[in-house]
Amino acid sequence: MKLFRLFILVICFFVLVTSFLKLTVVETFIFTLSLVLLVQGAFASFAMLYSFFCLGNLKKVMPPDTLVGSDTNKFSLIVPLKNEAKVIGETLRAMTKIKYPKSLYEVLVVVRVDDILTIKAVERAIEKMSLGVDLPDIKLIKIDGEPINKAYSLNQAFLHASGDIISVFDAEDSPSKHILKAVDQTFLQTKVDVVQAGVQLINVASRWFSALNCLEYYFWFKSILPLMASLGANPLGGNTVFFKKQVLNSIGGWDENCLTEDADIGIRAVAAGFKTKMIYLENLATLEETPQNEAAFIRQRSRWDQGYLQVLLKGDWLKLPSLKQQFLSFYLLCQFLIHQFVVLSMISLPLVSLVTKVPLWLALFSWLPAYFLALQIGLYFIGLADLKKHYHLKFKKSLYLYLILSYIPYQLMLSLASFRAVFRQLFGLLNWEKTHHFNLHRQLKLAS
Amino acid sequence: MKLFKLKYFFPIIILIFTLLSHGINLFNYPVFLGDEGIYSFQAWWLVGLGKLGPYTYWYDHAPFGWFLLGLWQRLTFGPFSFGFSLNSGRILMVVLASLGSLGIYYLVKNLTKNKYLGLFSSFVFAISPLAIFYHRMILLDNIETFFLIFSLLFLFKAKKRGLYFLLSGIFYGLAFLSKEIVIFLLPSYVLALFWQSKGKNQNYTRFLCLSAAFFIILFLPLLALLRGELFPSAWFGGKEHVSLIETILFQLSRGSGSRPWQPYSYFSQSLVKWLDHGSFLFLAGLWAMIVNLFNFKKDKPSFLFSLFSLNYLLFLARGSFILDFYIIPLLFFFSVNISLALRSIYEEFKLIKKLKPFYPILALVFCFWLGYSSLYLFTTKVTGNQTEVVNYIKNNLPEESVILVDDFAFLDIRLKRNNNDKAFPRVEWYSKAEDDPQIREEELKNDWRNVDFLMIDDYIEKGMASGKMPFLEKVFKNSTLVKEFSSGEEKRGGIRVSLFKVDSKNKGFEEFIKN
Repeated sequence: MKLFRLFILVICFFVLVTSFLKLTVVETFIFTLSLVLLVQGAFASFAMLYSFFCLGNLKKVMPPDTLVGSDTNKFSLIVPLKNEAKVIGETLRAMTKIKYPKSLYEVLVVVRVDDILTIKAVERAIEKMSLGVDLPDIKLIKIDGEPINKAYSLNQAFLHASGDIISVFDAEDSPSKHILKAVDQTFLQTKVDVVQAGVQLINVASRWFSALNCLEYYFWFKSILPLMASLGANPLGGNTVFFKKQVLNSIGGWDENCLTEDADIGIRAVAAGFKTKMIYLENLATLEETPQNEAAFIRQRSRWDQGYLQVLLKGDWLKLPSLKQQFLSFYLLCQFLIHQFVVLSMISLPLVSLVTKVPLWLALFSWLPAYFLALQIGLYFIGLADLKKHYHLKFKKSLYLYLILSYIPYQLMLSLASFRAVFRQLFGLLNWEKTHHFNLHRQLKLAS
Repeated sequence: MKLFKLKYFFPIIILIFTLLSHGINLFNYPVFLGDEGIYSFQAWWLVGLGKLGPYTYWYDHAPFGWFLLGLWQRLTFGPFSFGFSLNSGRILMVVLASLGSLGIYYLVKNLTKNKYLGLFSSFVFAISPLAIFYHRMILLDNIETFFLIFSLLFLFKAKKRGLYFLLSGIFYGLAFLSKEIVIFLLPSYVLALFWQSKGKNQNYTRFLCLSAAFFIILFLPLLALLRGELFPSAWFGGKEHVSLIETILFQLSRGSGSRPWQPYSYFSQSLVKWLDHGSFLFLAGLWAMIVNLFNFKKDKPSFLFSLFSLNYLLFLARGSFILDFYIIPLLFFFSVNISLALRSIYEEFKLIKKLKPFYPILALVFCFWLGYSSLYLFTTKVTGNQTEVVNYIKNNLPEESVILVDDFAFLDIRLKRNNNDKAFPRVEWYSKAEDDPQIREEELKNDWRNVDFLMIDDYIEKGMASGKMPFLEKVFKNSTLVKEFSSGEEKRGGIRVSLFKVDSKNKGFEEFIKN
């Protein structure tokens, strides 16, 4: 109701302004669109810059000093798998190298009983590692039943979890050696119930869209999510997320009918009064790879977009305590629909003002949102340099140029994914479209 | 004593003091400059009438300064709310100078951690005769300097905070859109930005600042592009029109390329005027600039401010065209430099530290001396002839007359100042009658007989004497004196104004020379 009232108020104000300015229908359209783009551009840019805006914000996303306290919490790391025989061996090896008392964490590998190749790969990996001296408890959990998706696997694994903190990792993840220590201290030193740590795609030069994909992750985890968390709305990421056990018990685990169980559980946790915190430090981020090709990218993005749409329609965001949280969650869940429209409008609107006869002030005004577009591209540029520095990446300088050239095609690809998501939702296509993994992030030549 | 501890005591004192030092006798001194008239009518045309100007806009300046002035005129119920149209703009200039003075206080206080030095800089800025003289005039340089002060205030306050860098960039951009010569300070600005932003988020804050500034700056070429006037018509053919690029090339080519020490150079001619209006701020500023240049290792902000001064001085002395009021931004740099230099001298010499108990007395004596040397600014009246000629035209000439006037009088004569007033829709600015083909060829048909009256003052006389105004000379030589406005102000810095009626008896020139 409050949202509706706010909406009516905005409309009234807007009608007043346009009638005061004596605008024609076309001019009103351009004015409205410019205004919307301006607000959206300003907020989106601010979100991207939030952590870099001042050193205080940058400090806020850092985990507490990990040397201070002793290790206390026991962790259960859930790794749901489906057709991941190629990558799971190295993932498990990375998990055993985590610097945390081995008795204080367990790895729960969840595989469907009919996924023979993956089961064999897991067993082989465990067997090989057993030669080592100090290993955490690695359990292979074979599951059956429906639906066949990640949320179902997570719920099944949760039944076997003995840790105080439940965490999710994906099949191709390379978790940081220090992640558990940092998260443990975060839980100890701050009063929070859920901790989301950074995830980073790093194969920036694998495909033409890889750099932009990696940068999306960089800004999402390092800046946008911390801002959202500080404002009280947090959709969470799909992995490297840590829940206190009572949170999952209280909200009933993951929603098995949702394609983005991560976004959904984030909103439900906040609505139930639990507090979340984002931490990001480059050497704590879990490393991942971008989809192998355009089709895989579009499939993955469609699934996310469709999942967001499901969460939006489900309406749990309306249970958030404050209007601000509701509005922000609504904005985030719609983001996939408006983002592409916004970017394409930011480009096309100034061009429209060049060829149509509108008052000079309006033509100038319609160019204002373009600043934010330029700003975002510039930020991607700096972000790429950051990735290179922090993750010791090696790539040709021409990648910076490709970044600019690929920006528009990338937006078009995102638009296509959005349309596909809406189409799938309208026609009830709810099956989980899996993204295949190829260990691209582990094949990189890193600078010394 | 308690009062001195109040947070807002000094800022209020500064505001009141600057308002008074600039506001007393504001409408009477200095003489109304032609440029003040141009900016006033451009402003009113832009905001009041929704056009870029009464004449073809040729991108001589970016229009933001006019926009701000027009907004002020609009908010104060028109340009004639304070009597003569230029009075309104002058009040805005005083407001901007006062806020600028406050900005200087916070800037110096922030740099030196000493509010007394901040107060001192503000006083130097507010009471120096050289500063008051130029600050009172409606000049884009004053608007530009106002934004520049706040741009640097935020830059030096930023300390790795993105918002301040963003604000600094925005104000720098607005300074450019007010008067584009601020672009010549870019090297110092960028250096200051790089030094101020060092830290983990430096790339982001630098980009934020520079992108905001450049995006705002780009609005000028965008304006030209949208009007189809970015490129010279000669480049792509088509109908002849003004162009931004052409104007920039023209502006860059202006000037003789003379050395600054040569007596006929723009710089040395301006220098004479600056020293004539009050030498303290200029000479003390120069001294402070040199002192601060040596602070490279010890105190970077001091060094940076001396660099800003040096950067701007080099621009002024480069040998191309400048006007004396181009000094305005330098007055701001000098005011800040003086306090910074005093601080470093204080820290360097023990003897000066021993004099600390006498500082209040010394400061009082100094301010009294400076105030005394500015006294003439508060008592001299030099705009009487100019306002009288306007009143005479309004009361005595027929409304349909074609009158060529100096730009200070254009707005008041062209429009009705109140319901009982007359408007002269055919009044033209003399310079446009000479140079603008639309006026000379289309309106006046290139024939002096189509002009009814001609206003002559010192500036127009000089223009004609240069031989670059053949059409105006023809008008003048075919006119007779109607009335001369000369009340003795000329001896105190005012100008003589005369009104001529155009006829074919060809005796105006001789009569004028006789008088």
